[in-house]
Amino acid sequence: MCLAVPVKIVSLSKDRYTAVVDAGGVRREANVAMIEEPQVGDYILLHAGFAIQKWSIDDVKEYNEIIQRREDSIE
Amino acid sequence: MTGLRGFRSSLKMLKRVLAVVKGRIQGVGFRPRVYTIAVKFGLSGFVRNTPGGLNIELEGEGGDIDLFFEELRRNPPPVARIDNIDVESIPLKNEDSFQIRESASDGISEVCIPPDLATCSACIRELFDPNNRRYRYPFINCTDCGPRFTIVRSLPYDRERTSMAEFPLCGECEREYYDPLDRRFEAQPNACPECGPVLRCIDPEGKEYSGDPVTVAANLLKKGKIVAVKGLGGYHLSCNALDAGAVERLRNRKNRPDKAFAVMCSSIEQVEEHCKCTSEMKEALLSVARPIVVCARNEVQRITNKVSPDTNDLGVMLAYTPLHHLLLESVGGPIVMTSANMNDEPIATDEDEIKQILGSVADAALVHNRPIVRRCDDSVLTFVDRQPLFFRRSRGFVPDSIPLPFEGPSTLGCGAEQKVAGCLTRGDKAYLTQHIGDLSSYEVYDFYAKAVNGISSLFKIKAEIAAYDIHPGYHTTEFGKNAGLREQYAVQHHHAHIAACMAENKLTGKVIGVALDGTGYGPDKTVWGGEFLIADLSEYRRVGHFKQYPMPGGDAAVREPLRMALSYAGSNSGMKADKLPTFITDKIGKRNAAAMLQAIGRGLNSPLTSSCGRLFDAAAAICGICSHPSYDGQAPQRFQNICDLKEESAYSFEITGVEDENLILDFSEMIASIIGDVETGRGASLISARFHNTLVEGAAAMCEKISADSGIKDVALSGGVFQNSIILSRLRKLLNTRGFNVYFHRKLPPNDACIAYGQAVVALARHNMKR
Repeated sequence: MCLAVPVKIVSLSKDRYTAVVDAGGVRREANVAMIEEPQVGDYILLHAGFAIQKWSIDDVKEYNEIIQRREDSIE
Repeated sequence: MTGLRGFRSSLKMLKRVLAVVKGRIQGVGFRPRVYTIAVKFGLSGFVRNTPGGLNIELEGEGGDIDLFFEELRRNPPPVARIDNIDVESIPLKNEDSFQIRESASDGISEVCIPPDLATCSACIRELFDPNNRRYRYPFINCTDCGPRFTIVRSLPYDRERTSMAEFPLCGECEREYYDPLDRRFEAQPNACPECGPVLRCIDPEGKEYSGDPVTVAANLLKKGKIVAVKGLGGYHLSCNALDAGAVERLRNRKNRPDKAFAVMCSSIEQVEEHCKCTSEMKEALLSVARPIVVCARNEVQRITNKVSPDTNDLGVMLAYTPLHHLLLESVGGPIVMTSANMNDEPIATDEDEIKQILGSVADAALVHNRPIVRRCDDSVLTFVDRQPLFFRRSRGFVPDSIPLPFEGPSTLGCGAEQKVAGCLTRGDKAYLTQHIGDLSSYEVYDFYAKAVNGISSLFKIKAEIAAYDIHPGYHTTEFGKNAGLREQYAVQHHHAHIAACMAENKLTGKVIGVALDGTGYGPDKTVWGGEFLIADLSEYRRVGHFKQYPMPGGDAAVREPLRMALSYAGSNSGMKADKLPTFITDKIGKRNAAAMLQAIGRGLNSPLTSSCGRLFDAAAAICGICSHPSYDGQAPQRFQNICDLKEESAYSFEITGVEDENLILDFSEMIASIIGDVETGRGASLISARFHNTLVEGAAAMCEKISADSGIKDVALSGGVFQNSIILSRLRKLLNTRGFNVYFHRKLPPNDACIAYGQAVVALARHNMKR
């Protein structure tokens, strides 16, 4: 299964095509050229190295709750 | 009142008539003219403004009454326009004089308020006459000139319903106001230094400079300072047009790096020092509307290039208020006059709005206490092949009506999203709002709603039908859906374009519609913009379009033309980054280019578009003309500007697909050739010329194919691309030589400002078919 995960933009390249993102403490580079006006602090949905859409704070909250519930049920 | 000729022979046939006059007759000195002519022919009766038009009752001899109408038609006041006079006989009343009576203000308002009128020559003479009581008074006006639309709160047009209501007339002004033989008889904005508005020059703290405000402001301008100047429909930001440093400062402070500024001159002679003016341009510059006219610069002239760095053209206008005349006389040279607004907000109109501009942008402001009731930007036009081409229809033209090809219930046309102007119809006339701008902020949306409601209340139009774009996300669509009207029509963007052009030209049959622009929502959810339709006023069929290409990143591709270059070039090279021309990958970065092609290949946020605007972007970006535009249309603007007008060669193109269904105009060979031309070091002027020629020949070839199948010989052109005079002029000529009748806009811009009118036309045509 391939899951798209929400990550946070930490910094942007000068041309705003690439960003350093933070996924649960892990930092990596992502391509953000295909989304509308990426900003530092935005949560984005990442798929195979590309940002495919922006996430609202509510989306992120909901996602975290789902993940939390899953983890709780697994325990 | 004047007595009549006392003696009337009983042998003469007396009669009495009621005449109802319609047209532009309010606020233009029409009733005094009626009065003087009636008195001249010894007629009794009265004249009165009513919401249904101007009523004239005349009693006297039949022959004299005929002479009266003959003279009125031959010799109306300068700015008046008679659309129609209905005359009926009524019983005699045997009055002994002719009177001008109070306005009646009930019922449906069919009269129209004139647009704002530039200061007339008689008032200018008085303005500079030291012996006149209004010497150097910045608010001088008469029945032939002065503010109208921008100061009127409601109709009929009387002083108490304008923003002059706050200025009670002094004795002398009152005498003029009530004297039917005076040039200022019922001139609603009439005023003088004793009783009228007062001009002040203030610094950023709001403190008033001492001394004559015009002289103070002029001295600041001469020193290279930026001054905000309150005009008719809003504030301008002004600086010395000959001072590169001042213009540069204005650009930096207004955060407008490249887009052209307009320049105001004191006389037509001053315009000709700097520009090449055709006779039509001169006529437009001197007309009472006083629009900005885009002219070609002279090779040798002194206005700094920083005024319009992207083009050899210059938008010029003449002074149109007494304040402008005074200011220009004191400064001497031409001054930049650009709308005072901050980041996407509408033009500033009051002292609160100017506060945030004062200090941050302007060093001082010329303010006064005559409120602006309606915001209104300057109008902009040019002439191509001696025909007008509007870029913006606003001050000086609004609220004049635009005719409709038929009658119907009152309809609200909402417009699109850019260069918006709303539209309301009544009977066979359409009333458009002033230019609103791009609905990119709440403030602009608020202006839009107020302007539409303003036209609706001014003309007492109660819309029954709403028409809006099929784009689900447009604010204007939302506005139309929420207007609560029982009948609603969603109109496709490019059909609205073609319908607008058709209706302006009174065409009601089928045409081939060529709609070329940047963006319009297609019912197939792709982005349209290079469209060939067979259309009438109610329906359309898409019979052909430009080949579609992906827009990498959606709207980001509009802001970054380089992305379109990559998209077109990539499509030509099988989406392989290593096959892209290096001069393109170097600009965007090898990794970025490869990643973007990969993303396009996966269909990641890369909607397909047939847009002609994007094709322009791609070609300009491949030539390295403009990689990061600072305003909408900058890349095409620069690309047009470098075009070698003498070059006749073109690239090749291909038309594929089936007639009458889905003809595809494919310019991929042209893109390949442009890349080749860049690689072999050919100049951008040559490439631009070939590009323009290819586009024109491609569009004409499409029309021929569509015509061969359908037999249609009438072609209507619309869309923002036709603001490009090269494309407009050459396509018109080429189609003419190939036996087509070509129709283009005459009164409205070809850009999205005509959409609301087009939407209303389509809605009315569909409504009428249903009956």
